Amino acid sequence: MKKKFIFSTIIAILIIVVIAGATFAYWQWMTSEEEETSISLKVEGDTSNMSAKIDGGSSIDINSLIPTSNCLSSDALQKEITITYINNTDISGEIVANLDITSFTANNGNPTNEQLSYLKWVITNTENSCTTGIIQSGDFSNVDYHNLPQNLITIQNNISSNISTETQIQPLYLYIWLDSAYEHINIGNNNTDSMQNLNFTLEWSGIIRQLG
Amino acid sequence: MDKKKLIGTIIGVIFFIVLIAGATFAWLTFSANITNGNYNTITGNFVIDYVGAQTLDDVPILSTGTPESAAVRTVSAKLSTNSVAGKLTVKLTTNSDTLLTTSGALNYAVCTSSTEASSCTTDFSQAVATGTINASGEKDLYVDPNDLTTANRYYFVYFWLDGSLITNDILETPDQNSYSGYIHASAEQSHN
Repeated sequence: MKKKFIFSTIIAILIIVVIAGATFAYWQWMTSEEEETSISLKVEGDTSNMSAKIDGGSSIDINSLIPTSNCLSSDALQKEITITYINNTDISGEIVANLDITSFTANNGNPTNEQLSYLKWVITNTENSCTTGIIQSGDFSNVDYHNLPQNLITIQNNISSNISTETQIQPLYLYIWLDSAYEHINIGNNNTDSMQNLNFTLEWSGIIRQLG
Repeated sequence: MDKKKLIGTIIGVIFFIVLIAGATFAWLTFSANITNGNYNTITGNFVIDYVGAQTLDDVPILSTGTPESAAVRTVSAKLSTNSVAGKLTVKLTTNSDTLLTTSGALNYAVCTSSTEASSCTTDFSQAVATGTINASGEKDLYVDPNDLTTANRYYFVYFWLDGSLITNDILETPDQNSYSGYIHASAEQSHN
């Protein structure tokens, strides 16, 4: 009878200890350095299976914009955008290409949104036309050029799965021009036009990703 | 010993460690490789350096106007530094509305040169524009078809009065014998 009582008492104490979380100096144990399993890894793009390239058409020239009614003229900017991809995975996805304004310097004073609305852009799927096959269009009026970078254009294209060789999405053509409807008269030797002598930089970036 | 009771008094504490295997599948996302993706862009300037002339307050009465005998004023224009090209128009604005103004007696001729020496020497055969004034308002004296450059271009504007058109009414009616106006210029950017 006594033995049973002591045994169940010890068990009861153990239970209480475990439940209450009290600390007692029981013996401890830990692995040695030799026993540790090292883990090291790198993240690498599996470009053999999934990659995208965006060629913006030439960065060499400094494009000088002068008011024009013709988006194809030498007073405007025209670029052919070539986007290619591989998606050799089982999951379809998308390519998102962004054209951002990364620098903007107004040398004659800050242009207003209304003035910037004359700086126009169009993306079409038609070479030598900014009026046929328009994919997107807009202007620079909503650019907050005090908070850069600012996104100007975003192009999204869905892509199929199991594309193992480099494939081009449809050719895209970018046109940017300062519309000749913009009127300003400089008087005398003073340049009072905020839309003249603007310096800005546009840069392409993009991602390719799987979609659920 | 009562086995049932013994078993009954043995209390086992079982800890369950539940491994919840949360398998998360990260959708692959990679940056695109960018080439030729920077566009450095500027917008042009359009400012003309123009030098006007002093006031003209006397115009001769001639039967035939010549460069030597007519009154002349010279203006010059060139592109300001870093300006895009443009074409200049030399203008005359007439303020007065007198009989002299509307008579057509006031004649003009425009000659140009890349130097301060007029291309018109003995007559106006080399003039780029000639005409008469016969109304108030603005008149294009000469629309230069050539782009200005960064070197000065000189415009020589000659005036004379055709005596045959100056009538007694002009001379004898009060305040009808005067003319007033001014030479000025405008330019428009050349465009493609």
